[in-house]
Amino acid sequence: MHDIHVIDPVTRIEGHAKITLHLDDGGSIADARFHVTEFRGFEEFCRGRPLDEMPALTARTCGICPVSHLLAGAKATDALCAVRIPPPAVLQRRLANLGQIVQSHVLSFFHLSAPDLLLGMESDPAVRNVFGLMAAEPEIVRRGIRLRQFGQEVIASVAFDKIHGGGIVTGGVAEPFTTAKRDAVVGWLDEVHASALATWDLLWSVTDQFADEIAIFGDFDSLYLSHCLPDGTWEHIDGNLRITGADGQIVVDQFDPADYLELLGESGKTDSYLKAPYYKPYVDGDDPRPGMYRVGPLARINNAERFGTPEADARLALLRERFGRTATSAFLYHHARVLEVIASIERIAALMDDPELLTWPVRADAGVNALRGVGASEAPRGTLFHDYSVDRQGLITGVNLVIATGQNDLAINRTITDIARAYVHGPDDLTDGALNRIEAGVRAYDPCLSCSTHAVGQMPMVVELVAPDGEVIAHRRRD
Amino acid sequence: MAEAMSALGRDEVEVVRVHQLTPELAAELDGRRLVVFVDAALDTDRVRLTPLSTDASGRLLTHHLGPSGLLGLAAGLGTGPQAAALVSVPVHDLTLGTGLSPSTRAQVDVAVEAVLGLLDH
Repeated sequence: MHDIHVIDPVTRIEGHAKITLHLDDGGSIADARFHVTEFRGFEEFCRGRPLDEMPALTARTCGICPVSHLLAGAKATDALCAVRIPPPAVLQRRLANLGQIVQSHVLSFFHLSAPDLLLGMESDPAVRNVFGLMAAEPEIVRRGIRLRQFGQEVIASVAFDKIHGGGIVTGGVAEPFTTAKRDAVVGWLDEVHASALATWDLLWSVTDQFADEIAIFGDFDSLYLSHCLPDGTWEHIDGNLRITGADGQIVVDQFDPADYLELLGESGKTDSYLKAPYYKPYVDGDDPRPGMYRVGPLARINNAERFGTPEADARLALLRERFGRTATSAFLYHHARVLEVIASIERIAALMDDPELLTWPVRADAGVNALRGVGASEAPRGTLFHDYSVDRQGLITGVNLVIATGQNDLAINRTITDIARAYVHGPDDLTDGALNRIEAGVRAYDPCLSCSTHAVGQMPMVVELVAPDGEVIAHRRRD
Repeated sequence: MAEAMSALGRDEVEVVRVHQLTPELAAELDGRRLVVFVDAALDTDRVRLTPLSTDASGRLLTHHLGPSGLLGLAAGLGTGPQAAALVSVPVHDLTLGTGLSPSTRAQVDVAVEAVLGLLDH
């Protein structure tokens, strides 16, 4: 006997996906797969556009992550123009990215994952959402809304608009920062810092209730990739990259994001529009899984020794005291996310005290000085690469976007397989609670599928039903 | 549409342009007499006005909401408006670009009149 159970659509994530559970002859889980069923194709229709359009054009990839694409796109076009952007522009871009981390993480935590964490994985699915949470804990939802408003206001202070703003441009930013903007941001700080700390207290208080999930949700060895300063301080936009192993040992340090193709490969899949990047030195053959690495908040806190801000570091120490120097469970992405909200608010406060933020010039001006440019930053979900090629007129001839969610694809598949094996031992175990846990395993990574599905050659959708002996018993192809 | 409404200069009206409805907008509905959502629509060939319940129960399964979901969130937080409506403007050309097609542009004045009718009702 073989069977497939489909969770379609996967809920409380950004985008459209499904999960298939493959049962073996005994009714046990043989495999679980995460399929992304939407297609984007930005790499193709960006061709021929002028390079200056790329930050704003690629920001349209997604309404959740536009700032991340603005920043990586601007950095890539900076590289094409071979400019070093003025220091006040560096600070404004950093500010925008911190606001982006706050608003994105807050949405993930409060609106998408808190219903599981605070109402319970087995709670009534009719109320296991933000509306149910609102009925049970309205103050928590209010706190989430205010924190997200803050993040969006910070973004708008640099990018002009909260979504798809035009303030982040090739060579820097469009306008100097003003005292009015600074004062507006400062006016939020006490409230949002207190809210972020209270959010940590709330999450920490329920952590023991999820001991099983912490042990089961993606608790495996993998590599971790993120930006990180040479001294081990957490970094979110500038500088170079670090890769560590599950044992905490540094595998590669301070490699230039522009050289990412030397270390990272990208495998296409026949059953998903998601590309699956991998660490090339660990892969010998067609199977990318030995090169599995994780990106995002968990990777960033594992790669860094410290945030460099007081309250975030105090709570990072608590996490490490409890779970070890390297947090290996995907469930702890939630904790890493809240820690990054605290750290981002503390970093924003520090930026507000930096007099250089208010200075100018804020934009370097140049034409095409290189035919290829790579920009990288830490999007909330992980490291984001924009790789552009242009002709001598500055028209785009090639684009490669390597998105955080894609980089977590191999780990997401491993995570849901582990969860399914733990909670589903036969058809009778396909309860709502079990299926919700499998979805929650995906949500732990906070995937953004709108960003992540991009062309790597021809990518038709192929669906195969595979019997336990490997025989393909059904095959459908959609070109 | 937003520009046309702003150009009317009516002090009691605040025009907010957003790419999508996100949860934090619930706080901005607080104390409003009337909230009118204006959106492009493919399923109509004329401007359509739809009253919305302000105590709708919504769902948030991704990072953004529909008008009913946002109203439901606002109602739950006690920040809902007194009344709400959706004005759907038919679109005819969804190819790359940021401008309006002539056919849709011709509908903007109709949509503005629909909103003004709600305001003055």
